[in-house]
Amino acid sequence: MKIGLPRGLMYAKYHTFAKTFLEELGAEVVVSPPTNKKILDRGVRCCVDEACLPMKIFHGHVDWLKDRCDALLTPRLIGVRDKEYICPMFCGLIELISNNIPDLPPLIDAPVTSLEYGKLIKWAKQAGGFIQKDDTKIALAFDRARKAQQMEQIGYNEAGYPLKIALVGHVYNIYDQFINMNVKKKLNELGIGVMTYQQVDRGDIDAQIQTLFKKPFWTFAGEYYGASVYISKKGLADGILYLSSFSCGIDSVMTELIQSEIGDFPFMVLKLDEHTGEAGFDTRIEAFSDMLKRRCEFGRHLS
Amino acid sequence: MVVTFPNMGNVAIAAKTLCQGLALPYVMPETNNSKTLAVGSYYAPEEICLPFKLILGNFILAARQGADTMWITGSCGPCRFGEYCELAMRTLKKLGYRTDFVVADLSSDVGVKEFIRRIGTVAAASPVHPVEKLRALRLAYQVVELCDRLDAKAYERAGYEVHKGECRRLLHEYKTKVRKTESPEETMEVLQDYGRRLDAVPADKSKNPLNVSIIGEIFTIIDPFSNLYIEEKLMGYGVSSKRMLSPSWWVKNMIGKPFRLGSRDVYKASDPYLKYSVGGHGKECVGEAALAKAQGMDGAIQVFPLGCMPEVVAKSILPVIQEDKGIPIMTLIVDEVTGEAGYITRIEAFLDLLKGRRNQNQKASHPRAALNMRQFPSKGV
Amino acid sequence: MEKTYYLGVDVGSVSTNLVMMDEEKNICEKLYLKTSGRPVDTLKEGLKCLAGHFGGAEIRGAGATGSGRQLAGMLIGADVIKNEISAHAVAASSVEPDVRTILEIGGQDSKIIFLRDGIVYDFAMNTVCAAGTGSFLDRQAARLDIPIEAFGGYALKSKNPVRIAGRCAVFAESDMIHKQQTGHCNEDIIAGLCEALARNYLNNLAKGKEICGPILFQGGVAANVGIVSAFKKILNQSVIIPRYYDVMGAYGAAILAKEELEASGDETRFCGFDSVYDDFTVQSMECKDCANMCEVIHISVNETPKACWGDRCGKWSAGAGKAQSGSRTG
Repeated sequence: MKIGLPRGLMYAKYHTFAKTFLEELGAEVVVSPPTNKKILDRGVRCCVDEACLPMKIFHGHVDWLKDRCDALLTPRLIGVRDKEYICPMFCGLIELISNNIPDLPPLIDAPVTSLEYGKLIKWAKQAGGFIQKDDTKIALAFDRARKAQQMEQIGYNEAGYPLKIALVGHVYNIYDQFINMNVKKKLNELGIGVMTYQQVDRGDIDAQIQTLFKKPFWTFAGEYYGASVYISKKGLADGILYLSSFSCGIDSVMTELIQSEIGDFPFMVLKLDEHTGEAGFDTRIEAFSDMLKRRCEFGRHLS
Repeated sequence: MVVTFPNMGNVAIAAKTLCQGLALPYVMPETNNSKTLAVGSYYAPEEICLPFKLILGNFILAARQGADTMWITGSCGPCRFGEYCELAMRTLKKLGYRTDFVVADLSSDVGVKEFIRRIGTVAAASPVHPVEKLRALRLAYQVVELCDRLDAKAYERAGYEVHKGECRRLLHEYKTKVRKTESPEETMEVLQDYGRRLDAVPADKSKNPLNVSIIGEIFTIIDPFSNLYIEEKLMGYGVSSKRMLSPSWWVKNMIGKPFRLGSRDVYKASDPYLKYSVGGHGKECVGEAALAKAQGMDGAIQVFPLGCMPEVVAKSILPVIQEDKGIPIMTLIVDEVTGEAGYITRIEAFLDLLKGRRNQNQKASHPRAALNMRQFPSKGV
Repeated sequence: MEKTYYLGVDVGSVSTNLVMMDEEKNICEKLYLKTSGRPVDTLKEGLKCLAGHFGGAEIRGAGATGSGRQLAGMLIGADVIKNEISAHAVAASSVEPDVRTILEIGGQDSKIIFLRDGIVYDFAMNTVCAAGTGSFLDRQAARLDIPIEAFGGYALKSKNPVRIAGRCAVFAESDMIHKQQTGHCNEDIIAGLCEALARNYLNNLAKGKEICGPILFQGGVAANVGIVSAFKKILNQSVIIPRYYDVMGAYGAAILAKEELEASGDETRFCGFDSVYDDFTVQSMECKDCANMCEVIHISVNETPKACWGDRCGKWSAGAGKAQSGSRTG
């Protein structure tokens, strides 16, 4: 059986788990190609206009896969921690794609409310049941997938550059080179190393979140906040680049909270959508890196 | 302690009643207007939704008048509304105001201890006897319920009135008066008086006005300024409108939900289209759209602020319901730059469309067309 | 027997159009004038023009539409004041009774209207910025120093249209400038712009909707062959441009006036062409009686208050505008 895996949204973070799980169950996995212009165009055509760019691109991936597999693995990701969420759009993702893309194959859309073992194994049985009837085999596949995921290192922290910028934002913005116009390469060419916010430990993140009046109920948003504040306090990078999706409700709140907390620490928000022109994007990055360089030189003068 | 609260439809009137009953000094926010919005959007993050801009505007203007305790309802996701208090708090702090926030989160979300602590801070500041405090709370709820009922009555009867504009005038009059009353008793009197007056509005029962259901994001549909007075506009066209979401509905639904009461029919109707909650009131919006035809509505209008994530999900489902149920649904998205001209054009064209559909159905002499006629609203507040 | 006529006016933000229609719904005269921010003067000028030809004829009815319909309706004494979506739909169905889809791109906004069995079934109006409208094209033509009439022709000459990105006019313009600076020729840029415009229009307004023929394309922009060919290419269907594509709104208003009066049997309220010599003043004020701060518009003719609108409570409009305020709309 061929199972399609759209290379969009949380694929960036959980692809190892998903692929291992499906393969261990004996399915053939078809992954859509890295995002390209064609996929974007397909997505923009079928997705509701008010959605953010990553959502539209996800639609494009699903559209690409729909005739190439027997079923699609598109779990309804409601949350990854208890009583916390990812984003309202994720809760309704299944409705978005099923109402907007015609002739879809069956969707394996069992909901995930938490990555806690007990809850996730339930999901595995529901989702895996589509491919494999034997519960013990599913449990085995699940364990292997979990182990593979745990081994996986997400993100990077480049050394050897005079300056360093921390990338913060949704994983599907940070790791999709099409969406972010290969910002990493652009920065490297400007002589700047890149680290991603996942390099900060969960414990350090949680300590920063404690200072908020209200603990953010969006798990990842809390991580962006905690990591940014920690990075700025410890000076782990020279500046923070927040890759934000245009019209993302979470980003609109988090960028504001982060800015109000980190004060003068260099921080830039880059908004991404299908209309973002690369020329303007490059200008902003160059200007930001120039600013960082000047600040650094200035700092050296002082010391 | 000087209390203030945002304009969230009739909630402000209830909050005022509560303050009066608790003998707490308060600042009553002006009904939302261009000034509120201008102040709010100046200090709010650019991409945040319209409700936040208005609420922030209310708070800043009230703080300038000396308010130091902000009441606001909370929620714990997944929609942005839950982060409003955090953002508003930081903005006011940045502006140099020392303010306390009393956030009414559900006890199930923040824990019973925290919930009681928050209520305690309000209760402790009030000099009146505990029995009076409970009475004040009850009166506040009665006031908001009555207000919501008056509104609903006015919106519905506007389609039947003999003298055009009478319901609209009464609605406007009562809203102006009720904001100026000095005590809960006086407020109740005004409300009851206007209830009688609305009942006495001469009505032509033979009229068969268009019926439109207003659905969408709760703040923008209960705050007339945010939706560019859509219900009053409909009244002007002699259209009856209905809106399920209201502050009193919210309270009833919150209390009823754990016992599987509340708006069960709406949730049930939404299930085939949207099984899971998407935050905000996306599920209610879908359910209401699915029920509208059976409720005798000619059409539904969805209103939500630009960038509202739950409603975007709902919006993408509405075309399917429109086809399934054969009911026209229009979406209006509002933000601070919404142009009124285009807005009116859309509403008028939509009403033309509904009229055209109705005529066509009658021409086809569909036996069920007669069933779609609604009963004239009954009297009594 | 003397011929009798109906007048239709469409006061939009960019153009003011007038149409004289006879009893057989034929257009006998049409005027397309630039509004230039002075709707009252432009309309009066138009009426003066028509008076020369039709001054002696009997006008059986008048209708007004467009964003300035309230004002125009007041000035001419319209029997019907209708929104432009309904007016366009009526006009299109009388030109092409089977029409299923109407694309309409005007000066400041764009619409799509879907019809089934001759009645409006669904419609949408642009919610984002003006990147897909006539004003934007005018502006770009001026910037490239090409007369707007020739603009479309350039697009047809292109072999390799560039891709222009742009959620709104400002961004589309900056992207265009960028493309120019990287050395693309005008033909390719203009063709790219036409395609971007058509694509944005369809993505924005026609999402998830089936576009069936016959398709009518009306509004001022329908004159642009570049846009027409872009639509044909993307839709892969033929697109009909009605003969009077640029005054369809006014035509619709005239038809609606005729239908309205035939149904009611009333006499027209049309003030006559001489009304252009009336002194027509429009004043706006901010009502300070409550926190709503409504902007109230007062209209007076020869210094007699005639109408009022803009107030929410009805205090002003109930007093003055007995004859016709917004009451006949909708």
